[in-house]
Amino acid sequence: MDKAQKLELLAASAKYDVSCSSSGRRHQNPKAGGSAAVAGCCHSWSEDGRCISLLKILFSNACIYDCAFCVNRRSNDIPRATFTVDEVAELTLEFYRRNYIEGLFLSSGIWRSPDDTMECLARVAETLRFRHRFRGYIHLKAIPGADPVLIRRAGLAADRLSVNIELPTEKSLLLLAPDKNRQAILGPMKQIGKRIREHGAERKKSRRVPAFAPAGQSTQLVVGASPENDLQILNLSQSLYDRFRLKRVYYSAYVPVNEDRRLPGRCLPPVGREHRLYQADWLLRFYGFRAEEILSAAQPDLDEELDPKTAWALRNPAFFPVEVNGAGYETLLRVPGIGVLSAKRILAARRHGSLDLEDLARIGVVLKRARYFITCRGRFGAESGFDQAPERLRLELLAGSKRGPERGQLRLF
Amino acid sequence: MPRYRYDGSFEGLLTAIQEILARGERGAEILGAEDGNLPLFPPELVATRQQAARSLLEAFSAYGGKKGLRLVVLLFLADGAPRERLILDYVRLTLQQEREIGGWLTHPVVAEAVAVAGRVAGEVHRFKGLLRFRQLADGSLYAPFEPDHNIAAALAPHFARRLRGERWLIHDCRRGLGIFWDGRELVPAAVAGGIADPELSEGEDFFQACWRSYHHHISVAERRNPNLQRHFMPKRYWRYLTEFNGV
Ligand code: SF4
Repeated sequence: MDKAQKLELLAASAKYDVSCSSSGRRHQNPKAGGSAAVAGCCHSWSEDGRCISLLKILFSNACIYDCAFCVNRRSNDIPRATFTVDEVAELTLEFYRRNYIEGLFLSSGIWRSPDDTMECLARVAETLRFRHRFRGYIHLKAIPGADPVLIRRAGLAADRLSVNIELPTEKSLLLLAPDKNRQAILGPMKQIGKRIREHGAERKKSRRVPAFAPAGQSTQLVVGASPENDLQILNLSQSLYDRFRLKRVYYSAYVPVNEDRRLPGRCLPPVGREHRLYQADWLLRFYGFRAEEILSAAQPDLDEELDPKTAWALRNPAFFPVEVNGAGYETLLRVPGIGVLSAKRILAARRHGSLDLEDLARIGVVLKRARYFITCRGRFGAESGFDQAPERLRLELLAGSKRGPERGQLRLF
Repeated sequence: MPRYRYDGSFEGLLTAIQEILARGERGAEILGAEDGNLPLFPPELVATRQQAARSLLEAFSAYGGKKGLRLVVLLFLADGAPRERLILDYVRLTLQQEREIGGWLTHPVVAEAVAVAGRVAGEVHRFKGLLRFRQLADGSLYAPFEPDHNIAAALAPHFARRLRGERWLIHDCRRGLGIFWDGRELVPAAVAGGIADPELSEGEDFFQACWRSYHHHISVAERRNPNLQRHFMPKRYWRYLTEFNGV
């Protein structure tokens, strides 16, 4: 099989992987060529509307494991291919120099053994970084069960490492990915987290200490292939952020690719649910929310119709109204419809004088939702404020968002 | 209403503004070199004076700081906006207020300036991703494009860092402007509009084909969403994008 055919096959096999992040930067090295990845720089968008910033491929789609939800599982009769280290390095360099991509995201099936696989991934990163002095972004999958020495090598050459947690609970893992186990996944996560911390601390003292995965670690899990509710998933994410200081958890709506008794039948990928999970995750990471504020045992799943912040606001009328001329940054962020950008603009504009509703509109705050939850100089933003029954307010908010951009376009706030 | 014309350069514009502020004129209008309409009363031609430009810039930066400076430069690159008026008003207001005013979005002058500058900055950011290089027979890289705003010079430093070890040309085909990088410095030069049909390197076709194939195969058929794709990547940019068979 030639390079081009391999690329076709191994890109197609990698596409269900959702993460497209290219944030975090390696420190500039004036001697080497190239510059570090710019946070979130998209180079193109695929036909399904996803940002392409990295060359995302599998090193190999051969696999000795048999995870139920995966196209590449051992029991599937599909064409298999495996790159060589130099082939991946060449494609990355040539794509990078033409500005197609920001860097490489390399994952792989478990080809031969976890160690063999991990070693190849590490060698690709080493070849790029040390032989070709590649300054773009490198994200490698860390393979559960691989020798810690290999994972260490990977971390010294890559910007980011990730270990896939795959499924929200041990039970589902056992059922759907019987060759894997929770400990083999959490082990490397812990190891990577520890090294990131150590190298980070050492590097503060001396720039001679090499960086270890300076863009941190992330993970990914499949949503909708197993019966867990959103509360279980959010609790898991929260504990990963708390315990291992993960940079991100990616959620991937389950796309049925295999007929398998253990899996839900033919269904559309739960894209809406995935979107709500990302919004809730956003609240955890940037808005100071805790999982238990967003969901509870009584309400274990995210509202399909309302974004999680609005849903929270409706359950917490005592928090409102928020006076935009006095509230602090964190409080402003809790107002539905006010995001990071709007909150910052409000703070900046307030320094030049107090704000009324028109001022808010003028500085670009979208009031469609926010007006129900705020006062400006003591005056309510909407005639019928949050003081009415929550159910009625809910209906009003829903009516207002029917043709909103959210429906088709999946944006974050 | 007093009207001025300048030579189209940044320094020329600053000179004109300096003149207007010194005379304390309200409602003055500045015409660019390319504004061709011949009014009844021909505008006063302002000769560019480097010294005047520099002193205005210094006075402005003392309050506006780096943030203000960046905003004014972005405004200057804007196309399809009354950039002379925007810059004049913004500089005047900053000097009056004696502080940085970028956050004062409730003021119409600031709001308009920030919005226009934001569009320009947005396009610079966009093209950090969307610019496409082809490798020519001599090994150098060539990136033609047609941005809405005059951003080639603002974009070039990014690629000077990223492709430090290469030789390349970024070519704004619509404005006939090129920025060369020879591995050491950026050199702007007039390059006739429209792209020639340059001879490509041996591997170029292969890697272009690889990219197109990758681009196609990375997409999940079940989630096809061409509207979303076009929302992020408007059609007007497609002409130069390798993935769409661009030139
Ligand atoms: S380990 Fe499981 S998920 Fe990964 S490639 Fe193999 S079968 Fe697929």
